[in-house]
Amino acid sequence: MAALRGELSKLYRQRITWASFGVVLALVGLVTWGSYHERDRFDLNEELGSQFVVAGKSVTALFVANAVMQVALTVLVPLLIAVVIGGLVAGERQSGTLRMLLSRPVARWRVLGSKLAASWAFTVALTVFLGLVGLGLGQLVFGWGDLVIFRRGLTIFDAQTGLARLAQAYGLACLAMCAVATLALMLSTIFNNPMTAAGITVAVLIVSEIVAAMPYFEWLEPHLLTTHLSIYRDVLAVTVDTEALRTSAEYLAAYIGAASIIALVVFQRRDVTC
Amino acid sequence: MIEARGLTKRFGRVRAVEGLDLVVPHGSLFGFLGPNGAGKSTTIRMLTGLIRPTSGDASVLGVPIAERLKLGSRLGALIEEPAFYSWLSARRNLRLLTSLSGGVSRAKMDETLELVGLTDAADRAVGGFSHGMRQRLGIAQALLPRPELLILDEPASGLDPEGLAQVREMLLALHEQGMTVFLSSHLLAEVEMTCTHAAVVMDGRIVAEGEVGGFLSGLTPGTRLVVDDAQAALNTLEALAGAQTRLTGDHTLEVTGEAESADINEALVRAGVRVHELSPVRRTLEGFYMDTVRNRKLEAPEGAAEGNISPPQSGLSTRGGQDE
Repeated sequence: MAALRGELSKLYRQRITWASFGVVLALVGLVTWGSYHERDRFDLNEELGSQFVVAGKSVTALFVANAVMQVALTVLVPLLIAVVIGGLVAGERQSGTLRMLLSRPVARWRVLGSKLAASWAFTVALTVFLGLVGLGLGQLVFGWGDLVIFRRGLTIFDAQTGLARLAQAYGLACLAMCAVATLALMLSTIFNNPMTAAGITVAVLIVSEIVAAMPYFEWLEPHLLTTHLSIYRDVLAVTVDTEALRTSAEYLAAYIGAASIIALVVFQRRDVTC
Repeated sequence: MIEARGLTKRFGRVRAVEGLDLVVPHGSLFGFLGPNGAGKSTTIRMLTGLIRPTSGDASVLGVPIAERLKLGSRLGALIEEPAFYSWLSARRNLRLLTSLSGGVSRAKMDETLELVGLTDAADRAVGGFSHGMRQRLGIAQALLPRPELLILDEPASGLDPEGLAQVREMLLALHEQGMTVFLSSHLLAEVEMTCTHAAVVMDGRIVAEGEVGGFLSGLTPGTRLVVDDAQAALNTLEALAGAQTRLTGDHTLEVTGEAESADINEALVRAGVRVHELSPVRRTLEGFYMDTVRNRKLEAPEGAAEGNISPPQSGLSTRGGQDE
């Protein structure tokens, strides 16, 4: 516990950590600002086919919380996680503080374990922060209301159900982002330069997306990390495919487990020469 | 305290340490000397578990280095340049570094900060510290909580004369209190003033090892002369019993052997050589070290391969792959 406290205190005293929260805050602000000026376009006031007439306010606090999740978790949050977590080991190796830490009588697995826990704590905090700020600013500007989702048609949840579904979605998003964080930490144990670790993390995600889009690699697509990173979207449908949800969660857990083990083996065996 | 047998570390094709044997006695203040790249830091990193030996083994305080965690806080170390979290205070850095190994009380931390002279700066961010202050903070973390064996890699590196004196006094005080100290250094005068034992490492092997007093007593004392006619002086002194003379410049000579300074002076005056200066050449660790390094360099091409390094002219424990 002391080790984790120490790691967290280091993490939360770095400018880059707070800058990440600042960037997320700015993004939510921009999305809210944009939604405010475009709210008429989003509002429902039209006939759907010849049978239904839908009318009402679509831009609500829940709408903003959902919108920022869809926008931020694709690129921005993984990028911020890669930059912050990529420096946890590589940055300390580069600055020499890892040498100081490991020359003391401390088990390496404890050091890495505390870094892993701290990286997950940061990831969860950043993801939850995104949701809470989205909800808060949305509530402030647009007020409470139903959750309207324009994806594969139109889905409307009443406010209570919408909030519950969003909470589940953010919970799954935390799991997905923790997989990215673990990947970044694993690469941080391998590379000496924190920017290299962060860059390779992002590159892995991009390459994975490209591979998934190529018909030739169709067989590989279900096994790729990026395929399961959007797991949070699965609960924002009227009928939740629990089987698909479980499969994605298992894949994410497997990625987290495998990356953690590789990170531990590398960290345990690697000479500290810097 | 420390025992290494055949300790070897290779980085790819580079041999950093090759079959190093070393014994650091309990209660000693041990100087680990050698030129840059000789393998000092690599050896220290192996002893502290930062890097794994390619082969050979070593034990610290009776515990094999592979099981060094069993040592707990009995071992304190500062390896090379101390590095800290610059945005944190000195006290916070110490708390962070010690938290993973059990933590220390505030009183113990205050006592250690006072010992290294950082009480006033304890709550200041380390980013604003001078090199000397960082060095002293590095020593402070090595001293927490209270090790039996202290390993320091270049602890006096970059310190001003006042800082050097502080570190020297601190090491002597710790040694007097019973702590064994193993330090690598390039500052031979400091090692001579503080250390009881020393070893010289070159090309990854120990080439000389023993008590510092033994090193110095084994060196031949000498006399340095400044004269008007060096060649005449050389001719005169060649006839003087117990004097081995060599020219060191146009007007300077160095005389070693058993001849007394007074006899040398008398012989020169009788021969009509004007003596401008006559001074004893002090036996220093630097002299011993330079002789050792020079001899090793001269003989290394054939000798190193065969484990056949000639020791300097002294009665020391010197090695060329094997003990004499």
